[in-house]
Amino acid sequence: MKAVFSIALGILAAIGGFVDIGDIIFNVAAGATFGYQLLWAVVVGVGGIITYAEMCGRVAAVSEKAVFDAVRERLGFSTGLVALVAGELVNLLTIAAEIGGVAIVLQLLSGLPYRALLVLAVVALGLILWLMPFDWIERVFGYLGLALLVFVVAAIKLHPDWSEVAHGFVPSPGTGSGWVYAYFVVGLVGAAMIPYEVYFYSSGAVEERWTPKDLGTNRANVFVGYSLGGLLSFALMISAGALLLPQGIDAQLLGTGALVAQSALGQIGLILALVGMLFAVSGAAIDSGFAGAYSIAQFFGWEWGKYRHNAGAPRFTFAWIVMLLLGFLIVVTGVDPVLVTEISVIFSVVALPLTYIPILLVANDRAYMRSYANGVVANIFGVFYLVVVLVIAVAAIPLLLLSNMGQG
Amino acid sequence: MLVSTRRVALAVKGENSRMRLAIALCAACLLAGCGTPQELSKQAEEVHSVAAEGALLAHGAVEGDTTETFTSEHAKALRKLLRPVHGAIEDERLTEIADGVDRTLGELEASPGDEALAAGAERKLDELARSAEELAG
Amino acid sequence: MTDIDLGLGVLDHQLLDCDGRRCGNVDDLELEGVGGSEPRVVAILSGPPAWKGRGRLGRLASWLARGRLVRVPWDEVTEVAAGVVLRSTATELRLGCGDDRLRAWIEKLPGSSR
Repeated sequence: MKAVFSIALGILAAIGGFVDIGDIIFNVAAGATFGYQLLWAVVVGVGGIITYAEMCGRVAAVSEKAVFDAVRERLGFSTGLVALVAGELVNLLTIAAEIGGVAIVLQLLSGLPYRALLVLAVVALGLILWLMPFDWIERVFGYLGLALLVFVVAAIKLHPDWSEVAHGFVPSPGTGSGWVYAYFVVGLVGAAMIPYEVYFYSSGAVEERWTPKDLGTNRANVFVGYSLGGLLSFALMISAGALLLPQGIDAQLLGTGALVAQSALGQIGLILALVGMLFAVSGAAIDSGFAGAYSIAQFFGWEWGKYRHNAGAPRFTFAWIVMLLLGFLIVVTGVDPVLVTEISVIFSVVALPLTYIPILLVANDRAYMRSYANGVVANIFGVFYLVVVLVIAVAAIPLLLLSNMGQG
Repeated sequence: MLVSTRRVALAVKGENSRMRLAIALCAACLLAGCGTPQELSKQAEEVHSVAAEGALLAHGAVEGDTTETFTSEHAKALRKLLRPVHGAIEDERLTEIADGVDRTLGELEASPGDEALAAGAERKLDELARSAEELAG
Repeated sequence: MTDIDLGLGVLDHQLLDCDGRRCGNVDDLELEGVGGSEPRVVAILSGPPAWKGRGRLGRLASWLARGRLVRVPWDEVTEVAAGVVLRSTATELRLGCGDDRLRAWIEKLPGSSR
């Protein structure tokens, strides 16, 4: 019973922690631009993160290696370093976007000036990471992120045409501009498969000293947690599609999503949406800051992990502090966080093969994985997503330019 | 001593230089501000979008079922969003519409708690949205 | 498994001291008898100077980074499992110095044991 409870808590944290600013921006914008036609892209993205994270969790449980341990061992120093630098640059953009997102939500809640809120956000996040234990951080931000479930209620209340919604789960060439449609497909899959999530997940598995006995927990977290997290993405897209598309409203602001919840459910909807966004995006800022520190520490062999306490892993601690600060410096220039979000997602897509491929290789390597190497099913999905990841990596930047960043 | 590592030949390795080129192109394009539309129909669509969203925002304020802070801050954000397009408009009619949208949103931003004002703002923004939509064709 | 197979199997792996502390990576290996009939691994090399032998980026990284080269004789290795486990502590082997130096600073801050 206790084990079931503990797994359930893990799943809840995974659901609430699934959504970050990239998912919010892309799903609401996709709904406003294409209605329900891109729901299938979210399914592809969720399938991708499930496949990728399950492999990472299994690799961590069986070989005790996190992503960048595997990347360096498999690709060697030079190529591994390219993967690291690309991953870190992209991760930095993600951190900046999340910090900016936190400040925007705080501004919508409080009316205080944006730059002051940026400072508040980074200081608060830094203090939380410095003082609070790892699992407290995960639980609190994960649970409070569940406030985003308000969008599920909003989606229902807005009375979408459910048969049209159902059609959206079947891939079809959308109406309107082909380049914009393709851009959104890449953005939605990229936002769902954003790399910091797997770096964080796999490092967490090693921190918690998973063994093959934990493979069940791995599957539960990943299958149930991320699927239900995908539900939140659907809700964002469906409610935006039901309300914004008919009125010809683009969704270029973070507040537009909150406005959708407010229109459907009044003040309580607004508050829950803003609170949910606040904790989902803050949680993502924390996770991506840590992910950056995990990656560099793993690559160079430094001691790492929040479980080692701040002084127990000095260079790791210093690394996440620096990453938060650099992220802050990027957004304090006044650059639009929504713009940074879109760029970070698109560039993440470009860098994705560099870490996906080594994990797929390690997951198949019997020397590392013994009897737990990829079976037929894992490889069918693993190879399918390898193709997906390579195609979108090549298409991402051209589509960014051809679609004028989704504006057409 | 050089020890050859176990290297996996990857097509991905060729992407490094492609990626650098792509990043450079993208940066150049973004710096050139390729985001702001220059044709009338696209500009009108953007103005329509901001006006319609403003009307939705005002509607919430009329019903009193929102927070004043959100109404004010989001109105401010909408005005900021409109600014680059507004500056690029050359058509007189659209300029007038955009001026009206900016002014009305400004009123909403300044007095988010005034329900009567919000009702007037909603009507005005609905009208302006329709006018912009006509220009968008 | 011959020594050199083992050598290739440990390159780029995590170094762990006898207490399980992570203290660097196997950045390069010192070999003896290469070209002869029985090449074998003599020592593990760890630290930025060891990256020079790891390709062009390795040379660039070695030039940019600071840190000493640490040579760990092969007979220090007790086990090759998830990482390469060593017989002594990191301090005795002069590994993980970067962490030791930074720890002196971090420990001065309140909450450093959190």
